[in-house]
Amino acid sequence: MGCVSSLGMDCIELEQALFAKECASDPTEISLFTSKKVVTKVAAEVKNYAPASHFSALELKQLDRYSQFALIATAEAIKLAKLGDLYSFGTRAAVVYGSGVGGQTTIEESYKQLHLEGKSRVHPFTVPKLIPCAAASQISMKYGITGPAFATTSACASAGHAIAMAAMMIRSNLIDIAIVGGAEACITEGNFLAWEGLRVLSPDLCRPFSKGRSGLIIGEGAGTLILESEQHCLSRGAQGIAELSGIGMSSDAHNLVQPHVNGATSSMQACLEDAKMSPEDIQYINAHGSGTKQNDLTETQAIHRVFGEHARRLSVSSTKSQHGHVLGAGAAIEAIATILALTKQTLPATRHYLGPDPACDLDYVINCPRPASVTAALSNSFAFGGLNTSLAFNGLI
Amino acid sequence: MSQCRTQIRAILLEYSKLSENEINDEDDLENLGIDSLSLVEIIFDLEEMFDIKIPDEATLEEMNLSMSKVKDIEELITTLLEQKA
Repeated sequence: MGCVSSLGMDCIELEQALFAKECASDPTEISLFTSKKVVTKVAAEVKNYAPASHFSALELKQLDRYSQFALIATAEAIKLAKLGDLYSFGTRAAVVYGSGVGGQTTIEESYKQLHLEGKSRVHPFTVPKLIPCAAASQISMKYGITGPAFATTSACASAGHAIAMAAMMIRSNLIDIAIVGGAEACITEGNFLAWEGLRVLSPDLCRPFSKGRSGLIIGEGAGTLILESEQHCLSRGAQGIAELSGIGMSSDAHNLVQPHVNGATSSMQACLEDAKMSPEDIQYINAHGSGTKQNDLTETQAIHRVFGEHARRLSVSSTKSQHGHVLGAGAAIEAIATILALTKQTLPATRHYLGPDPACDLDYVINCPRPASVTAALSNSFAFGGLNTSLAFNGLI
Repeated sequence: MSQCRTQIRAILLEYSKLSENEINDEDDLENLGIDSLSLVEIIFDLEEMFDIKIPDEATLEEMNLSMSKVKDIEELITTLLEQKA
């Protein structure tokens, strides 16, 4: 696993922040752009990031910020999975990498040059940098992955679909191993103005499922996981961290921005069915929990529908309260948070919780991580456009 | 060395694997370690540097110009700057 987020440049820093007793990192004042038009003041930015300390000047010409995060997170995942220089990926390896928008920074910089600075041309790498499959290509080139390589784009479920696609390819014996995940870097003036138009951005903090919740905080970063068949993992003498035991996908077929309980319900049901699990097998759900009034209500209702009486016995939290809404990378970062909950036997918290909303009546892990006996967990991602994924994980260590 | 020539060489050096004193007028760009992707960037940098528009390959051929060798690029830029003036 590898991760870049507002909580740090790797999984260790992510883990330290998620499982700290006190909230270790709040969203900070936006530093990536200045604007007289954007009202929102905060974002979950990747802090103290110096691109030149990770990439050469020539490499940076070809890498949008989102691809940079993808490569950094992937390098960590490769290292932790002990896939050293001697490992040859080849045609039996895939890279499936999600992003909601791709190179938003590149897009906006080129518009700025054309429309504000009076330039008559943009850099020739503008297109290869901004395409939402740029990160997948960069990863495939860096590691010699010559099997299937593509991007998934389904807004906030992009990385969830990436993981699901790769799992299906492994099950069907098309590949043995896949680099999966997602990356996003769209803390830009234009993007924030667009989000403000939707009236879902919080002015201060993200408080999923809480009374007085005021919306989401946009984050940035990347999450990468190495997905491989059990046989492949054993044959190279590696120790898996967790088992991806089920995948669920659904579409609301309802509305571009308003979530529907039916879609969330069928995503979780499909996941449990795929994992051959009963509702009682799940102890923890890492919720989509965006912190918007509508999502948290709909997701709570869907959990009641799927889990019945057991809904009140399982624990729910949203780590978006800490790393923000990382959009196309969210499902990957939250899959990592879910796996960490399994390995640490501790549930990460929904921070900034002020008190119960009567309509959100589940057992939320509030403000402080909670030790728990957890063998199986779900991670939900319910995206704009009504595109949903749920992933089930079992602990192995 | 004219200022124009110095500026062209500075751009080529940025993308070449060779050092300044190893670059000769007769060198093919390929021999300098400049691939087609780098050439696209070099064209952009030259256009920015001299505020010119470098024509596509077919037009360059019609003009009896090319971007194969170091000296070709120098000739091309000189021609385009003369046309611009």
